[in-house]
Amino acid sequence: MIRHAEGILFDTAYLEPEIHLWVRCATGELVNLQVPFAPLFYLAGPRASVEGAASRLKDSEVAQPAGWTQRVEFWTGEPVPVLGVRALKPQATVGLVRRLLHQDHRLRAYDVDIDPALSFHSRHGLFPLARIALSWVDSPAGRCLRFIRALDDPWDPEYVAPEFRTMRWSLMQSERIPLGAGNALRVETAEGAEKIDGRGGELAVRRLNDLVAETDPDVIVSLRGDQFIMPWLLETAAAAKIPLELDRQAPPVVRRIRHEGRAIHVYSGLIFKAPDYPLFGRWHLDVGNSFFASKAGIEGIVEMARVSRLPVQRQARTSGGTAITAMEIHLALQRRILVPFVKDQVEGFRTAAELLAADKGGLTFYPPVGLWEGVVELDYHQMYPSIMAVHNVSPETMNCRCCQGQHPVPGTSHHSCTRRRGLVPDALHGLLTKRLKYKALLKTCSPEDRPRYDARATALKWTLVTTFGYQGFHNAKFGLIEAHEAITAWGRESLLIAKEVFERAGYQLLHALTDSLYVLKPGHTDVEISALCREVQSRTGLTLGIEGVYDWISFLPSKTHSTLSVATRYFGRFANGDLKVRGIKVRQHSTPPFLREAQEGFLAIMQECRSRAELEAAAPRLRAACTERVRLLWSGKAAPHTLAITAQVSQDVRQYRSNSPVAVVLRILAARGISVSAGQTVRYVIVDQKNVDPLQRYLPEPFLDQVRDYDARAYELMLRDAYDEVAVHFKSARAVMHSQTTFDD
Amino acid sequence: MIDSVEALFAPYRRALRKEDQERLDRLFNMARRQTAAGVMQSDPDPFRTIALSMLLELLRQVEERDDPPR
Repeated sequence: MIRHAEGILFDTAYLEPEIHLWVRCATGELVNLQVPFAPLFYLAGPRASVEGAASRLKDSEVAQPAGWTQRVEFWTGEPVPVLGVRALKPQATVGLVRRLLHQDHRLRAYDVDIDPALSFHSRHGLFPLARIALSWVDSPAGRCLRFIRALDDPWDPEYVAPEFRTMRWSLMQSERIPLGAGNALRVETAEGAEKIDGRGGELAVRRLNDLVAETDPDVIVSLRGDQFIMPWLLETAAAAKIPLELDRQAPPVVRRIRHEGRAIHVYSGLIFKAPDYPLFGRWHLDVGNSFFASKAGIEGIVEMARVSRLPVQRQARTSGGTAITAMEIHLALQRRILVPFVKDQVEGFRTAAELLAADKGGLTFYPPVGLWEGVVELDYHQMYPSIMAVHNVSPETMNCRCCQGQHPVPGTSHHSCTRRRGLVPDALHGLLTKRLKYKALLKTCSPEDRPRYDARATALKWTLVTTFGYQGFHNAKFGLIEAHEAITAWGRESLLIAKEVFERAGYQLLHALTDSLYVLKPGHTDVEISALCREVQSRTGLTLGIEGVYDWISFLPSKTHSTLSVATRYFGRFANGDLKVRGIKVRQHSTPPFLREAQEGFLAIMQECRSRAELEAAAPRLRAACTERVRLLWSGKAAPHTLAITAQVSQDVRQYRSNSPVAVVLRILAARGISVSAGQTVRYVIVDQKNVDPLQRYLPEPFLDQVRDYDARAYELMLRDAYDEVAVHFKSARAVMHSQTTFDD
Repeated sequence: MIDSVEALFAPYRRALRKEDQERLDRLFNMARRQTAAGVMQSDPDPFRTIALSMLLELLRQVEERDDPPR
């Protein structure tokens, strides 16, 4: 009998040979449905090559030829004949295609390594948490999907995500202590929190199984779940020969136990990426292993999953670049454009002089060191993504044969196509437009909707920020160095146009960096600035906005060249009283909480001042605040955990040759049986920096409760640095500070 | 870019008196103030742009000494 229902598409997963869907029906019931799925990929090249490959596939269990058809070639936009091949075992097709390409170099492959869930979503117009109408047939083998259709649109900003039953997992003690050796799991549900001691082993697994069965959570939100908790649970369950029952309405799944993560580079630096442990029919989101969770929470992950059409658990564990690639793949599938398997486009041949002229990034105008009043900050909104959308910058639209010289990129020998819209600009256009919709909603929405829209806008912003780096990245499916160069060239051109417009109106350019300008003109008006911004917009196609007017801003000197400024170290007070701070200790991850709080205290005093005169008048209070902190240090009453310095590990303990703090800390930890991978962080307190035995100099986490005494002198020097950093432009404040006697022991 | 040109002149710098070494360092720092202009020019021989930036900065300092701002 055919059953019909409406509901929410909770999750999608590919379990060979079927796509599994988990749907929360309008009745509240969760149903698991299956549909056989064998995605198509394509082979192209000389007819003999393709037919040769087809004959080799005749008896393959991995893939079967499915007939000739026509698709659009990515680079040229021309239709080409291709052989469709049905992937019966998608996980094995990549290896198979590699072998085929190796056997015949004239063969080309397309649409090979597309995530089956994405491909299924794309074909049926689905996306995570879509409202859907569906029908299925109940059979002994399960529920077989017959029909499915989305009832809403992923680009609608006003959707309401359903309420999720949530279970939270965290470790009770430092992650450096294993679960079997004294650490415990804290499990929290709506009913309350419970401690599960890891030493219980099998009992711990059984208790967790029971809790999950009793409370039936939709989402398990963990901290360190991928890296520590899941591997331990799987190992313990396997050793006791009992099942770990975390999946919901899913066939039995075999998981490999992996401990090692890997270090990857993302926009905000090197991060440690733990192995992945998604669940089936239930989400496991490790907020410590998710770029989007750290920036925009679960609301942000859901937003990105909807627009990328990637399953929520996969989206949670990837970067903005993967989301954009997924959107481009969806557009390509819709337009019957072939998705290249390996990046088969090499950089066009260019002379060294051309390379030099093109590859030079954003522009920097160094600010004059000192304190300035009445500076106006202007920012281009989402400069690089907007450039790609406005100037149609996309790998396949660069240097096309059809539009020679029609839309030249300034200062380079490149041009972009004026006839065909690129995949990248179209994907970005969707994101830029949706973000603007959220910004408009934030101005009019009710207070209870604000956090939701804010998180979603933040997720979109971070995706847009990471796009640009993706253009030239060697693994990017749609990356191309020429596109990268065109974007930066348009960026420089746009910055110079803004500079010219404002200078012509009598403004002095103090500082500029890539997409922002700091200008000064006594007696400027908001009306005048807005008019100039509109002029810039009409000339560049990009939006230039007023970030704010500073009552005062302090451009700090370089640490190495004191007469020279640095573009990224400054702080200032906006006319609305907000403080903007860049590049100083409060902003650095390594800074111990004690120093961060101290510098925050200094800045809070300065934030109350509206002018240079008020700042000078506040200098005695600033000095007193510093003296008080110095006293607290020497009294021995600073709490050890507030003195912990955070440092990132860049290599294995054996590779460190020096006695740098990180190297020594790793040796101390290794001696106590704790290993730390590159990309992870360590925290330590300086106990005696000058000790002849390096191992006596520091005490790291998780042994901070053993700190009896800390090196007050070392911390005083750091405190004075933190003070000087903010007080550098007050001679009155500095001089007294340095002539003061220190608290000698 | 400026760093690599500066490194090119390391033997020259080595044979300068200490006070002249410091002057040379200041000259290179003057050129650093005009990085944006240097990027736009992208001369295959960057020293020409660097020398021009040094001259420009020297002129600015001379003018400011003769006629201090404010």
